[in-house]
Amino acid sequence: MQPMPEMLSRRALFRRSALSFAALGLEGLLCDQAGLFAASPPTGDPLAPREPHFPARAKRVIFLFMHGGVSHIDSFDPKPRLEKDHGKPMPLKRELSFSDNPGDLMKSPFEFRRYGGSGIPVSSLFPTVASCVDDLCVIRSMVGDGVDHGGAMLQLHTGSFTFTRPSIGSWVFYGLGTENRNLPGFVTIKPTLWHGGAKNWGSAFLPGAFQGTPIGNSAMGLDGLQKEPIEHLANTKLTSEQQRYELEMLRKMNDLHRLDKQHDAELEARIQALELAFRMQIEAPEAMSIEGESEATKKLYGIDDERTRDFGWECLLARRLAERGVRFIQCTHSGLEEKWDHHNAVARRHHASAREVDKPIAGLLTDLKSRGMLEETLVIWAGEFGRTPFTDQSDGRDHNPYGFTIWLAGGGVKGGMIYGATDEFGYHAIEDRMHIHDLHATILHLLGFDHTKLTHRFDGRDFRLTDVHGVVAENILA
Amino acid sequence: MMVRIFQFVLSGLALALAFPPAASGQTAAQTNFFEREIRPLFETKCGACHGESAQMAGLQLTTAGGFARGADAGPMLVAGDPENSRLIRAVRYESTIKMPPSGKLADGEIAALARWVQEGAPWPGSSTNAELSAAEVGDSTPSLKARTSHWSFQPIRDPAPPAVEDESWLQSPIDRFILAKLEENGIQPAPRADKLTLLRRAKYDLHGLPPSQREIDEFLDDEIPAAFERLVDRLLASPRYGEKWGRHWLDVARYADSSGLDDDIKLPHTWRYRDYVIEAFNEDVPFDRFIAEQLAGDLLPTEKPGEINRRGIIATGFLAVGPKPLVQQDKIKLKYDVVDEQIDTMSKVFLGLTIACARCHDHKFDPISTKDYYSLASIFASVENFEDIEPLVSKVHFEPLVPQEQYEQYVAYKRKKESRESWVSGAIDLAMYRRIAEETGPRLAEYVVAARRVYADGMEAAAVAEASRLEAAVLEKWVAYLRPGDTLRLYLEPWYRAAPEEIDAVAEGYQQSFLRRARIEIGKLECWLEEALAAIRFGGKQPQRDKFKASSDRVFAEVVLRGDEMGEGGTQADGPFSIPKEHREDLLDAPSRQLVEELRAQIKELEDRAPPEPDMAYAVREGESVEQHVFIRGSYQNLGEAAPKAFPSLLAGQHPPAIKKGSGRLELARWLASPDHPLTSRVAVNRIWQWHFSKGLVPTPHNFGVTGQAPTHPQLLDYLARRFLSDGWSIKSMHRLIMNSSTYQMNSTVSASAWKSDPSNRLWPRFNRRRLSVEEMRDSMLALDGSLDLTMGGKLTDNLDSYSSESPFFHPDKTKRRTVYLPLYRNRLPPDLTLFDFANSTTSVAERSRSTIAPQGLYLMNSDFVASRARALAEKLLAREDLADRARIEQAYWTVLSRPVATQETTRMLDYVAGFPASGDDARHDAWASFCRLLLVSNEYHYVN
Repeated sequence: MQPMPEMLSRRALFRRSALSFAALGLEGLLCDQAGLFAASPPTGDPLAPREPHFPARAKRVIFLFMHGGVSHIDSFDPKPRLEKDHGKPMPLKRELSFSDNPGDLMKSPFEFRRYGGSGIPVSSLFPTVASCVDDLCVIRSMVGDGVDHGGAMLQLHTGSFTFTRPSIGSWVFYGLGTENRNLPGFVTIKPTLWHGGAKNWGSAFLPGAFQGTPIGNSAMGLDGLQKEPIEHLANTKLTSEQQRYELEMLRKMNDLHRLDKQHDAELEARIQALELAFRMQIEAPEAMSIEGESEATKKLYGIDDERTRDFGWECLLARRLAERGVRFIQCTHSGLEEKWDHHNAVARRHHASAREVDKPIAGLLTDLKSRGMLEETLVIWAGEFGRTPFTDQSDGRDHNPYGFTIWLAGGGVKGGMIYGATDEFGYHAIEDRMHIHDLHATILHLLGFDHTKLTHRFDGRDFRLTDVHGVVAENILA
Repeated sequence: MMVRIFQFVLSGLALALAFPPAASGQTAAQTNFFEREIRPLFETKCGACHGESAQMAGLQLTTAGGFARGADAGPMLVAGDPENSRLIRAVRYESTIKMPPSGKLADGEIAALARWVQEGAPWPGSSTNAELSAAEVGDSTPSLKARTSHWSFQPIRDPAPPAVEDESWLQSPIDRFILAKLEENGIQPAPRADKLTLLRRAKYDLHGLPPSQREIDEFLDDEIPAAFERLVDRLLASPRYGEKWGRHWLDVARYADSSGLDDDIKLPHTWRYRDYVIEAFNEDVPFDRFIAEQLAGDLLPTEKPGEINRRGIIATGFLAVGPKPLVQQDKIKLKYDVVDEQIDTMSKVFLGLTIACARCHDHKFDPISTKDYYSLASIFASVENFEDIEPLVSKVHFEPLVPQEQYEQYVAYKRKKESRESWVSGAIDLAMYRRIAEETGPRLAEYVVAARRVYADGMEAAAVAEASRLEAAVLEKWVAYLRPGDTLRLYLEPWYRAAPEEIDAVAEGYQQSFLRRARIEIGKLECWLEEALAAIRFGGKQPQRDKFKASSDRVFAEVVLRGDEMGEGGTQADGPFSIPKEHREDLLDAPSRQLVEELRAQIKELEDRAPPEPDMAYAVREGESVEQHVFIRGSYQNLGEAAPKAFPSLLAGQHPPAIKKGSGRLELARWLASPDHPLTSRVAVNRIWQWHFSKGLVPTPHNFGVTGQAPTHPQLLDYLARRFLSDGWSIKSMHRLIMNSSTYQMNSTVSASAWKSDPSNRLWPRFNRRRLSVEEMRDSMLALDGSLDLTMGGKLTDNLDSYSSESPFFHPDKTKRRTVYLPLYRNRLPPDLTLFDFANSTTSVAERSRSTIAPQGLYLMNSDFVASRARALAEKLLAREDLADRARIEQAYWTVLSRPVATQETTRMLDYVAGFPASGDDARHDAWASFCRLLLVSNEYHYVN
């Protein structure tokens, strides 16, 4: 093991810091962060809070991920042409797609109405979110490269749809460090294990300390999760007195073992990690528990209703973590399978899925706003792609990465705004096209980063989230 | 040779650049405009000839630097003055030079270029492209040729071990190289490690397990000076060695049992490659042969001609087991992503070079051109990885390990059996549809209307059924089905919206539509059954059955199918007219029943004489030989010059093997293993060194290129490389050479002087203390009480689809096999393994990361696995009635830490056990389990000195 003299001098620092969670990555301590900041070279501690390149609009991100791909033409991008041409053949050239049996054009089964002062149209899928529409920046011109879920999800989360790259949450954590050592800087709540699985919250070649910490996964029920949100967090075998007794002796043994190995800082780091784990075991469950929240708050998030309870819990937990300084929080709407991948029965199934999230999402936006947190919290709502204007399997819709809708709220973006447009069928983005790389560049910009300068050297090359692409969408900045 | 093969001077092309493009000060709008309109134009319309891989007329239009340099003949535009800019005149076809030559740009494109020049030709700073630093953009980039002067591309020298002052320290020639440098720097080597430390070090190093009591006794009793040598020999002869060192190789071979990336398809047969690797290490297969087998084992001659080269085929799993985005729908891109992955792995693993960088542009640092990359791609593109790449989920290739004839026999058997099974189920479906069409279907309208009385008018179902002579149970189901719920069913809207006077007509409409659908399905089935039966009887291709799809008629599906037949997107309830599966067979008419019985008898007969299922391997085979072209900027839609199969031109050496036919894999293996290859043997011995000492002589084992780190001891590296060759590429000989050196046998203490002058141990004045790998940790904890299952090889599960909590791949504590045998699904590696830095298998892993994080502490304190291992050891100790507690503690120290316990330690631990805060019957057991866990969690246990 490589001894690290600088670790010894930081021993005091470790003792002072309350609690380091997914932290204390030795590898992180050793990591080469050259290139991270031209202006202010980082201190030796990779998790220390850091100033970005320029003053940030957003301090943190809450990413609401709709697994499977929401149909934009059934939610935020109405297409009268489809009403007119319902049942007619698709006149445009069909792009590379996923389905084997694409059919004819299909109008939306949902009704659109204009909402708020901005008059942005929203379909009957999202009646409650619609009441917050003046806070949303609806981007109708998203473009990605992946036609399949795996590729598209990896690109949305990491920028690359073919290679293993760090997740955007890891980049943000890497760039900003953390304000709260008691919690990980990047948390992903109930992520799906499909379609890239852990790659979507992995740190790839960034130091392991920056990977996302999952709270359960999308296949898990809420009850077990609430008991033990993070694996092995609960001690079920020993009383707290017994555990203290054991750890005291352990400390003694490790100190003795270390006596003649003064230069091996890793040994001390391991002792610290164990002690931090013990304290975290006591303190982290409080942050993860919604017990202390008022009934009104729980109701606001739909936790009182069986259908909205799961995603409501995810959203409320996201707010609690945001309050406690977590930099990047992802809530995934998924289950044993995707919640939005409706190749058939899109009307019934989209309707059912939307009801699970509509109220919780609106609850989150309302709650953040009333607490004055929305201004510095960037909320992102997105699926991995949109869906086609023509049918798949007679009554469903296929994947469409060529033009789809996401929205942003808070964190320095303009509210009540529509940005970009798709063609009259909703197939291709044609105005102000915003590739996923551009979205990433814009998110980093809002967090205070020049996306071309947030880099990490690996295998002899400087890597960045946006690879060699990315243009900040200046027009949506507040 | 630079890649300016295309370069020729277009006389008369003298584009003038009066001002260099503005590098800064542009507005965001200008940047946007440039990125959206201008850069793509240069890239797509000009890049092929004036891009990164070719600069005709010396002109490069795809980077700021290239643009600023202008053409050979001079600058090319006047900023702010499109009319007088050569660039604009050329694209307008106004000058003698007309660009692009293939056809004039669209008017809009020309206008955009003119606007850009008008605005001063602002080019967003070169930092837009993170890969290009200012220096690289300028003219200072060394030519590819100049880069070949890098140390690792020079021939391997034959250095004489240097003279040293303290000859008494030497045990091996290695020691001279190490000691000479230490003496030069005035550093004392650390003292020799004591016997028990050496034993534990060597045992973990070669087996990944703690020494057993017998091994401890044997080694301590061996007083002969050569005792350690003999220990090394014993350890190398044990099959446990291959399990440890094979796993090192599996890290670099990015081994896993699923496709990874998008859908992480679980793959059978992969484990044979893993077993091959373990076996190859145990057998000490010479490394040159190891290379050849893994790249081209299927092409190697067998002992007897015509024999199936099982081992060789399996070994090509090295190429096959990489991650593949099987669900990617751009199948050409998929093919070349696989090629790229193979080039990347092969070049990192054997050459220590990152050749895959050259997929889109010449390598930034190493002497690898894009053409070199595509010449290699030509080799790998001629290898077949797929059985069928076209489907939604591409099918990978599995190679039979039996003669073709035998394999085909099995395939024919499967086909026969399946065609009969499918006919039988079709016949039963037909009987069911007929029954529904005849009996219940014609009463559909009655049921629908009756149901409405129940769910809308609040009448009793039983009474309504009786009054209408309907079956009450069926009516109940209709009520449940039609009762408006909170699900959106557009196809029932007409029914719900029907006015009272329209009800009967609408119900009748549903009935008509239902019966029409039934007739269609019956007709389709009758035709199919007839054709399929003919195919079964008289041979010929089995026709594809066009099965009813629920999405094509929701009402029909939801009325006739059982909940579990509805498929994705369906409701879960049983349809009101559905017939339980077990009753459907009774509906067969006599002739059909006879046929079904006949076919079932045939199936039975087939099964009785079933040929054995052939062994298969996840392996590659020769494909169609590809005439590869350069893909400009990595895009297969943009073809450049031809790139015939070859090895990187500046590294190929004097006489590389010529590739005359086939993919050229065998020639590639021969080239890699040629004795004068400057990289292969250096890279290999460096890995062996690294796996012994935790760090390589070259600290970047995958990168011997210009950006990699230089060796700490270049002469020693060359000495080892030469020894490797002269010892017949034997890895075990290399172990002996290294382990029987004083360098290996130093202890891990740091002297003050060494700390001062070499804190990071670059000169090797001591042995690097290291933490146990996760395999070592898990296997050792299982070995404590003898529970570790030492069965070798084979697959651990047939149930590839199960992700249940009982699955060993998700929960390693469900099995007691060695960790190396656990199945590994890339996107769901067991969290217990990844928590402790297990290799992630997405890419070749040269060196595992070393994290020390709190969640590891949580695992050790709170996981069931550690608790159960501590408990097992405690029970074993307590069961020893011949031992006093003092002796039990002594025994525990030997078992866990491989050392005697000190008197004070015994006293302390006796006090600990006595004072453990527990009461009740289990108090003593709890106390001892706690004591055992202390040992298992302690730093001393987790580190090897």
